Amino acid sequence: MKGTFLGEFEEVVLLSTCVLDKNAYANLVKEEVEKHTERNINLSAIHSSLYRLEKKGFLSSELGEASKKRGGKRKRLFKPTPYGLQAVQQIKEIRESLWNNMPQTLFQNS
Amino acid sequence: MQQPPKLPLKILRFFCAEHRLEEIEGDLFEEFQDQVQAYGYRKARRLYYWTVIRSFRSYLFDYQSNSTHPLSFITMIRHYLKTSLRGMLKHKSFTAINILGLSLGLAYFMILSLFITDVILKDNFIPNRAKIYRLEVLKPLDFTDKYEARTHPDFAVILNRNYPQIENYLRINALNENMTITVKRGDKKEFYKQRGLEADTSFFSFFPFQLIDGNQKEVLSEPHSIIVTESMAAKLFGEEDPIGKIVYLPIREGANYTVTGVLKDIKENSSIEFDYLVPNYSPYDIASGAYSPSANYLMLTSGTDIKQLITGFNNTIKEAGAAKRLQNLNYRLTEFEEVKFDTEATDDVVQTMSKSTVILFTIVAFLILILALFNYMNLTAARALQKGQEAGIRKIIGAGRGSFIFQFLTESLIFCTISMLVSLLVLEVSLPYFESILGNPLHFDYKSSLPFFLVYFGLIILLALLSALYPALVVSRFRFSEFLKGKAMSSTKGNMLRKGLVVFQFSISIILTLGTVMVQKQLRYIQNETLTYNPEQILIVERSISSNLDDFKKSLKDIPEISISSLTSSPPGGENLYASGPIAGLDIRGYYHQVDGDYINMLKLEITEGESFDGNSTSDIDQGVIINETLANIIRSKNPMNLEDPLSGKYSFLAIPTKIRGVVKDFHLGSFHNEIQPMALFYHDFAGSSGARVMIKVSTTDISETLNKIETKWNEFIPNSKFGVEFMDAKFDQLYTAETRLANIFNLFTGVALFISCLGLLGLIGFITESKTKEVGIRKVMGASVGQILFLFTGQVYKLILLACLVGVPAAYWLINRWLDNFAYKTNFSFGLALLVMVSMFALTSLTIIIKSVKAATHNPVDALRSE
Repeated sequence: MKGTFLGEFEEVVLLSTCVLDKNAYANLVKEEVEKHTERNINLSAIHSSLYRLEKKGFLSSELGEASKKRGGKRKRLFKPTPYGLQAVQQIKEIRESLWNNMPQTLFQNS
Repeated sequence: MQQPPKLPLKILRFFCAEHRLEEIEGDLFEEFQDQVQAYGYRKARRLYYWTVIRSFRSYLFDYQSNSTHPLSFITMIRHYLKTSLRGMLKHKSFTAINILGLSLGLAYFMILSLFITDVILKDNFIPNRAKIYRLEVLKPLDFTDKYEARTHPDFAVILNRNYPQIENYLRINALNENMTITVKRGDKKEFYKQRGLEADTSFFSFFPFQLIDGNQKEVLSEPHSIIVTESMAAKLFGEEDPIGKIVYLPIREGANYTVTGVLKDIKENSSIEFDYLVPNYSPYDIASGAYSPSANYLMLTSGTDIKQLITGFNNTIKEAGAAKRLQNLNYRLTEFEEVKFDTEATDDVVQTMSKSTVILFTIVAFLILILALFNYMNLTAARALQKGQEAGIRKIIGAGRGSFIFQFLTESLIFCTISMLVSLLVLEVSLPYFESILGNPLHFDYKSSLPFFLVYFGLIILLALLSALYPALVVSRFRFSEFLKGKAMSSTKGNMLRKGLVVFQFSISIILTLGTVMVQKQLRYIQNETLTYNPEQILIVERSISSNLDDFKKSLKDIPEISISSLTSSPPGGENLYASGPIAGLDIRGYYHQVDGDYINMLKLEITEGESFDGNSTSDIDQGVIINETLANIIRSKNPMNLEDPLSGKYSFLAIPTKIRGVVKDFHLGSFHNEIQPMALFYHDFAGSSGARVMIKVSTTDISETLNKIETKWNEFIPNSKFGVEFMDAKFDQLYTAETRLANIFNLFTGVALFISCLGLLGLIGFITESKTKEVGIRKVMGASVGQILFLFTGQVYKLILLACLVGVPAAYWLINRWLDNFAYKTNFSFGLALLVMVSMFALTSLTIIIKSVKAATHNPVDALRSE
């Protein structure tokens, strides 16, 4: 399935958006991703992923309210679409089924 | 609250798509505030800059279709690219024809351009080339009107002594290429043929050829020294050190030459090419008048007034004590850079190519390019009209002329870029073949030349611009309603130009084809038709000096395959001469040849008056001479002795009054470029020690067997001389290498031109058949046969071809006659051949049309009419 393909970084961004639940906009997503991955990420990378995820149909967006902290500019709030939710779930299932089949001996010695 | 820096924000605002700007700006602002708190203003500022720079990603340029952003055309380009590529893929045969035609045209244009560049850049590696001049003289006493490039070798020395403007001089001569070089290896002798020059020591200050071994100033100081190139050294001596090796050369009575230097192989684009170099040898005194001529090159100080310099030459030469016939000459100094274009006064050292050939190449190159360009324009315009409905919708949405031009430009650029890549491939593949036809390799290393690729790229852009303009204008002229009604395709707008282009293409093709055919005809004419004998049957043995020549000739009668043989100074097929000189009382120069009793019989020459030599007498002069008709006519018209029968008088050919025995019909000894000279044949019995060439007529299929027999006899009678043999037709071929090459090149380019034209026709017919699908369908329903429908298509094209013939044949007639004027003896323009060319042109176009239109004609009419 071509449409459901998600890159590693995209997956993290998508999950972060889900976690933030209706409050997700670029700056928050960035903080969230940085917190969980302990990586330093440029804001433009988050923008790029968000817009791409939106184009692929995993996310939908609407404009939020403006605030003084944002220099009077409105923010774009992202939320996962049903398709997006289905995709993260599917990924999780694939991973879990793989983990369930993992041979027990593999991690014992290391 | 701190404000973020202004500059990056401005940049961001300029580039960012409108609908994204607000949120991105806000996000950046918020992040900036956070970072000021976390790291302070300075670092935050730096990070802000960095983030803006990193933001230049595709989302920034995601302009929407209603965007008024100045950069929004990027979206349009993306759109144009997509539609163009889709169109190309959908009409694969059209695309293939278009790209093939364009890339062939481009490739062959570039090949010719490369060769022309090569000729122009020739000798550019010589730093002093602007200061070098060749001394040429015109001798009024010899009654010629051509300057001679080879003159008395003392001229240069005397002039150099007397004029401070002449810095240096160089006398140089080409040695006979067929001369045999002998190398002893143990007791075995090995023979080689190489190109040699004899030159003064100053050679190396004139031309920057590099020595690997040896000192420039000393290598040529010993009279019996020889310098060889690396590759010749490898050929002669293999791996051994060539310095000090002995080589035998049969020049100047023959001598052993010691190798004193090794020259780096000449890789440069040089008009002077040679394998070995020996010192100049000039024992001739200016006072004696007898000399063997040599090319005199002078190096002048820069800024010398040539005209003024020359005026003093006659006086200086006279004061130096010159012989009478060396006084009162007309001098000329030719720039070295012009020497390579001078095919008239050649010195055999510098290879020449006439300017008219270069111009001819240039014309052919541009013809091919224009042909390809027209082809492309025509096909694209036809295609564009076919896409009428698409264009109509574009117009309704609001596309203006500019946007049409832009759309076609994108498409052209795609086509041209692909064609460029393909043409580079064609260029690379066909270059070796072309080099072999032309007979000299390409020196210009285009693959590592930036200017070459810049020019190539510029050409592509130019072509794309030109070819986009025409279809764009054609399309944008229509109103959209016409498009939507489907009128554009069958409209006559632009038809005239399109047909004009086809007529033009075929006119060029006809000219080129006729040119090819006529060049071949002329070649055949000069090679065969005027000869009374068959040059393929006559062997010529190289000149040798011996007292046994006559015995050798007599012994040849034992070989049954040999019907007749002859000893002579001058077998046909080259510039052979026994002697020449002015004839007293006639004010002309006579050319004299020594022949034996069999010469006239062997060449089947016709005696028109008097009688042939009987071959019994031994005294040369008593026999009288046989003159040719040209000389006889001159004698008759001038009649210097006022005799009733001018031919009965005695004339001092070779300074001895001699009677005229007979008159022979004019025949060619040399190239057909030259007029037949006034000549006299002297009888010689070749009984004593004398030099001659042997002509042997063989009538057999087993040439090598006969050759062996002849060689055995030769070694028996003339053991000290080498047996060098060649067929006469090969000698003739050498005289006409320039023409043969021209003919080959014409063949190739005519083929390409015809191919491109037919491709164009194929595409055009494809367009016509497609636009007439419905018409054909209706006609078929009404009962038209396949033949009638084919006629519908062919009729249109035949009219165009006929018009092309009307333009092309007279143009070809004019051009070919100009070329034929180069020959003293020439065939006529043949209208029969012209007719043949026209008929084959019609046949070719018919074939092209039928291939393309049979499908349309045999199609089921239902398919054509069903869709509406």
